[in-house]
Amino acid sequence: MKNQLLNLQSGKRGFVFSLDVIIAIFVVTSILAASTFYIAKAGEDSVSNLQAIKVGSDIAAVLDYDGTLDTLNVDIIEVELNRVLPINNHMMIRIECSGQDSFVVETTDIYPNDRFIGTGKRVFVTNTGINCIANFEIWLR
Amino acid sequence: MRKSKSKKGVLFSLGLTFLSLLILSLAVLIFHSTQGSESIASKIAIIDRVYELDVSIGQSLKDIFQIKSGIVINITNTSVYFQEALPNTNADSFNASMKSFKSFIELNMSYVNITLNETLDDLPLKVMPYDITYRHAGFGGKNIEIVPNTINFNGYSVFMRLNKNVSSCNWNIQEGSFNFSVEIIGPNGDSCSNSVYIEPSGVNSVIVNGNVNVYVDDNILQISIDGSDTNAEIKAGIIANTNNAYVEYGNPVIMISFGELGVSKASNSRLT
Repeated sequence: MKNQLLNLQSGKRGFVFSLDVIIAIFVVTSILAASTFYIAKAGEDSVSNLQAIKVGSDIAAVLDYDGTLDTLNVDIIEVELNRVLPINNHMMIRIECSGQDSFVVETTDIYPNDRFIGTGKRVFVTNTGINCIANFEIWLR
Repeated sequence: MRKSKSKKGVLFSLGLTFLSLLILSLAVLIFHSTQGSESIASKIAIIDRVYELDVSIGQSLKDIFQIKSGIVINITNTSVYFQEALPNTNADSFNASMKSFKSFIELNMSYVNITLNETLDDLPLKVMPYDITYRHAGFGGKNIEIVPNTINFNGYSVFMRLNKNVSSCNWNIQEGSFNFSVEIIGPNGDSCSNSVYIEPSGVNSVIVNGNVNVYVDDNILQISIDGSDTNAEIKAGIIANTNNAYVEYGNPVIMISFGELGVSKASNSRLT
């Protein structure tokens, strides 16, 4: 009788131990998952995003100052854009001018859905007096 | 013995939970700190955007001035000169370009406002840091004024090339210590020129042919040409030690405002 009781108690203990282990694993895993989520969120680097926008602004300014944008010629702008753009970036510029159809200059046809895209604008007047806005989008390759 | 083992187990579980909570707290701390930097980064991004827009709009206004105004600004170590024809036949074209630019920008960017009223009427240009205004009494007409806030420079200099011969030349000045140089020449090389020292707060005048007037009155230089058949190429300015001088449009012309984000910027556009 005593042995039977001991066996039962021992079985219960095993059950309680297993339950304890499962709950502990669940709690620890949940906490670690939450930590991973927060750390992953923290890892998204806003400074590098800012840097991408800055690069885009600088590229637009270079194209403006060296007179490339004044040509309003897709091919000329594309060649210069590929020349001055840092190799780890892709960029798309949509140019809208008063009294003219807008056009797009881009370094790739593939538009990403999975990463940060920096945007900006630059206003310029061509050497023939046409008012234009260059809307750019830039992202890391 | 069994009690001691059970205690150890509890302690182990507690320790593990404590460690996990510690990791979670650190992760939350890192997360919040990153959120803070993200907020700062967004603000920097907005300020950068406003700055870039302001610079590019200013550059565009400068380009319009250079392409359309017919006015050349020349800054040397000792002077700032404005050169143009009187009447300035570019006035209508310049005004049309400025209006068109304003409409285009304001239509495409609702957060930008460009103020043009005074610019279209008189095209005032400001010499900084002297705070001297070069303006037209009706841009496209034949009247020009140089208006200083105070006499913080050495003199006025005026050069005019008339389309009429110089037949008379009358000087009327109050002597002082302020340099006043005038050279007015006709198509045959005949001229009315002198460099004198005057009292700029008094009334000083040079009148050529009875209809070309150069006044310095109450510190203000005024140049006017009467009569529809008399025109001139003029070069007028100030004499000063101009190491860091620059010229800008005379009134704040660019206003960029992202009201909902609390960022705005008003500025003049530099021309030199």
